[in-house]
Amino acid sequence: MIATWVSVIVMLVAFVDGARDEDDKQPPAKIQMSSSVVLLGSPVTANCTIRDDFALAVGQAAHIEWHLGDHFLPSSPGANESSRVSQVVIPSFNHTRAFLTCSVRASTSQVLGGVEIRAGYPPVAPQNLSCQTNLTTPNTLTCRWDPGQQETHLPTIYTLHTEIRDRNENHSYDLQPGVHHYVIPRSGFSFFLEIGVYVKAANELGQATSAPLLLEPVSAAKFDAPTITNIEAVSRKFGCLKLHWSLSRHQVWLQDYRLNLEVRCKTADSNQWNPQPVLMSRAKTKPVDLCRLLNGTRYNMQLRIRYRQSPWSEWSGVRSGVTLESAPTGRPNLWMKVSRDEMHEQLNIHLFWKPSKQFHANSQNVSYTVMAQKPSGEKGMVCSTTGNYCSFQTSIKAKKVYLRAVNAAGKSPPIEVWIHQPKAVSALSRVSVVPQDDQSLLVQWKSLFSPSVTGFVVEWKPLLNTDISSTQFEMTDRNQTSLILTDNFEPYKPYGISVYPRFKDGIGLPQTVNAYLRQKAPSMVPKITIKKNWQSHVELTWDEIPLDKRNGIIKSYKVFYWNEKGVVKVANADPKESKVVLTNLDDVSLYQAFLMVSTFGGSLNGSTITFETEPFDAFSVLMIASASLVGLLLSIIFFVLSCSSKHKRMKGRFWPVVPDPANSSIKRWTSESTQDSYLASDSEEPNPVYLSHLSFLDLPVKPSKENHDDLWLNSSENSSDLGESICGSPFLPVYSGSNSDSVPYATVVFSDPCSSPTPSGPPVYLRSESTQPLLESEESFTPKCYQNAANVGKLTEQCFFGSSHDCIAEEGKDLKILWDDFPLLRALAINDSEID
Amino acid sequence: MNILIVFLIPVYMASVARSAPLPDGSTLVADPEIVQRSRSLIKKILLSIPDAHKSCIYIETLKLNSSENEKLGVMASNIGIPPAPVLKNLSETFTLETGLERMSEGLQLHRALLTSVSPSLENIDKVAELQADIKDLVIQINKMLYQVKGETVVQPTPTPVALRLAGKFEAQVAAHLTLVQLQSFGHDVVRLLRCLDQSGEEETES
Repeated sequence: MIATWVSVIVMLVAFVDGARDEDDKQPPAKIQMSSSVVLLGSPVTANCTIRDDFALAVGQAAHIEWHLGDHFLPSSPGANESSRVSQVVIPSFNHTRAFLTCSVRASTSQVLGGVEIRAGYPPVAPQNLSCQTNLTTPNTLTCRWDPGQQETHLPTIYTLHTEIRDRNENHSYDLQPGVHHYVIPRSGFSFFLEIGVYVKAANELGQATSAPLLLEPVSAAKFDAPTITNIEAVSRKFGCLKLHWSLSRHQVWLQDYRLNLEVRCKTADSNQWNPQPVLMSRAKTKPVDLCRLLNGTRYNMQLRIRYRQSPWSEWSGVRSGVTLESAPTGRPNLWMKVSRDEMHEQLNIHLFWKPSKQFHANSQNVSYTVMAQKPSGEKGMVCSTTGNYCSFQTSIKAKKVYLRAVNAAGKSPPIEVWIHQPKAVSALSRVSVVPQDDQSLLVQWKSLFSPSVTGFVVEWKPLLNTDISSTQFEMTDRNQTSLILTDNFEPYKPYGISVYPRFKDGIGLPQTVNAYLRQKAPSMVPKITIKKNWQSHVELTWDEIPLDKRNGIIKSYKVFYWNEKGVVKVANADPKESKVVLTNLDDVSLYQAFLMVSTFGGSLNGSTITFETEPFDAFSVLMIASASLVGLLLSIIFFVLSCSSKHKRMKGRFWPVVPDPANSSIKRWTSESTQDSYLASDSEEPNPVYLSHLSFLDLPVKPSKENHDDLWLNSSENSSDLGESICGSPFLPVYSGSNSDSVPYATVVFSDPCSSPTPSGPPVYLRSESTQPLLESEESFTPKCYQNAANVGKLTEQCFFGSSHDCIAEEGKDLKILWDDFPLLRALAINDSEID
Repeated sequence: MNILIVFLIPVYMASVARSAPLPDGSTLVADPEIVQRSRSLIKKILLSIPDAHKSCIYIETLKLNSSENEKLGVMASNIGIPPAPVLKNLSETFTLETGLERMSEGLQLHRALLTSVSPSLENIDKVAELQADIKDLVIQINKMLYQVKGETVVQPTPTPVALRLAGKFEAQVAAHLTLVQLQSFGHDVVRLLRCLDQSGEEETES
């Protein structure tokens, strides 16, 4: 009994201890909030309640603080105004995930509890749900969808739901996070039972469901590409082909099912499929007939299938078949080039043809016969060929030829072709060719708009292939001035392209250009040969690059050359010529050079050659000396002849006439004695009056008429010093040297000092004391206007001594007085009056 | 869309294994679309059997089309493989309803057999696919049966068949015999469904 009680007590104690332990393990505070997952940006409210028996808070007024992560949050007391309860309101929670903590602030701040808050958005409904059945092994139904653009920031679970309504059979498939497709196994669907599929997205804030997709799995299957097993012509059914086909082995069980077929075809020589495939709906896997085809033509065919609105399968492999043959029909495009052979009085004709829209060979093996009047006059077949042209001669009187197309099933009616004589008339200009793309060239020309032009013929041929059958042509109407040529153009190969004007009665003169689809650097550079080498000149030549090595139109030849000094020079050669002359080379110098050939697609450098310039040899010296001697003799002869014919002039220049002062006046002397010699120089200003010497004198600042004579007297006394005050003349250096030899005839005195930039008044004219005649006849500067410095502001007292037009002598008493002082001038004046 | 097309089988079904007299004025009710689906499915089943056999039977002596299979009669009894229902040409005594019921029963039987034997097999992907195909066909047959009987047909539920599979050999033989029997039964189904098919002429637009 005692033992029993003891055990009970122990158990109670243990229970009480356990309960106390549990209380101790409880958090000191409890944070309550409506939801720990909220909408991003929504307000969050939380309450923190501290346990009553929390030791730190016993007997104290606890101050509760909130933190969101590291950030302090202001709070308010709880509804019951207790210090143990605190409430915090976060007006907009903008974190996708954060921890909200509640702390009590006593001596030290202690965190009492915390909660995690997560925020995001509810999922959006999955979009673009689609499913496709796989009919190969294993049979599955793969569904895909788009989860939507918006990031929910919360874990979102996608579930695919299927519902086979006929059987009340539902399945749901949990999907891996981030995977937006699911492969439904074969057991989850029935081929012929409609199945509803939808995707549900769910997270802690809600769920959304995609629009349900209803489908019959077999209708959502993309079939494997079928196989065309055979194509055959249908007996007695022209223009038809029977196409046998089969499904792949995985789908052959559906061969009796009605499928939609699409057949596309193209002729064997065509590059493009017929843009409108033939649709056959609800066709079983049986041979299908394809009609409305050209006779005797090989067709390539492809087939694809689908069931109802399921995706089309890929196209099958290509198989070809040939329709039944029939006789050729229609008229091919024709191009006749006619040239006259005047010697033999016959015409040389090249007749080209090619299929047109109207022409049908109706056979894969068609030949052509050309009937014409032979030069001998008889009519007969001049060509029978499977090619595309016929070259023959015919009588110059022949007017037309006949072409027939022949195949195993028959002949076409004879096609009449008129022969037009060539016309020496051009109706176009500026033909240019540029690459249009990787396969075609664009030909452009300018029409001269001749009214008689009916159109143009563009003819092209590869220049490296001399076979005439490679000539191609295209007709245009008269308003067309460009044409895109699409052919098997090869890059880096030259093509000759001609544009002919067509007239009603013939073909005019063509314009021809060479063109490349693409260009690149030439394949070779010709070797440079030194043709001439003389002193500083070297002529280099080279062979023309073969056409097949050019790879483009030669744009330039450049010769780079240099000698030991290392300065590289470039000489450009005319692209049409194969030579260049290097000039200004150093004598006896070793040069190196190489040739660079450029096309519009690149350049290539040739090998470097070395050459040495030659020194002057004896012959060259002799030649130069002879040439110099002849030149010298010619110069001498010319000089002598010139001297004899211009004797007077020469004499005047070298032996000037010394006038007799007693029987001369300035005017006469000037006009008679110096005119001849002076006019020899056109560049010099003609001046009939010369001064042998010009001197400047320092004058008092305020000259007056009263002391005018004194100045003159003073000056005459010091006439020997005049030379020391020469300044201001532009010819001063000349005169300074001859000062002692010349005789001053008159002196002009300026009122301003010679340092003055411009004279402020007319200079004073002073007569020289010298009675010596004027011997100096050297060229003199042109005297300008001289003013009397002593009569500033008095124009009536101005003196003019020269031919300046600016200076006009004015009449007055004072002027007469001056005339008395100058007998020579007075004589001149008298002569003037006599002439007048 | 379920348009009931009443049609008469006017000719003798020479292709059906067991001949029977023509039904006097008897009429068959079937949706040609369902018939066609059924024909496609039984064709798929027959095409799948060799692949399924190849994938799960590794005893080389067990071959699908072999006269040796007749020697496995005792084994079939011992294992407990029930025989397939007998299908006959449609006649007064073997009506369309009977034929459809037999087809449904036979297909469900083989599906159940495969379900029972599958746990003893190693590679059962193809077998599972075959089971799904059989299930699809049963659904189509039951649809026809519903049209004929005018009452709801219980949807197929795989009823396990108790097989006595003592070891791997028995499991291999059981799977082999099930597939052999299914192949034979499938051919009978093909013949019967061919009688029900009334396909229209090919419509071609070109």
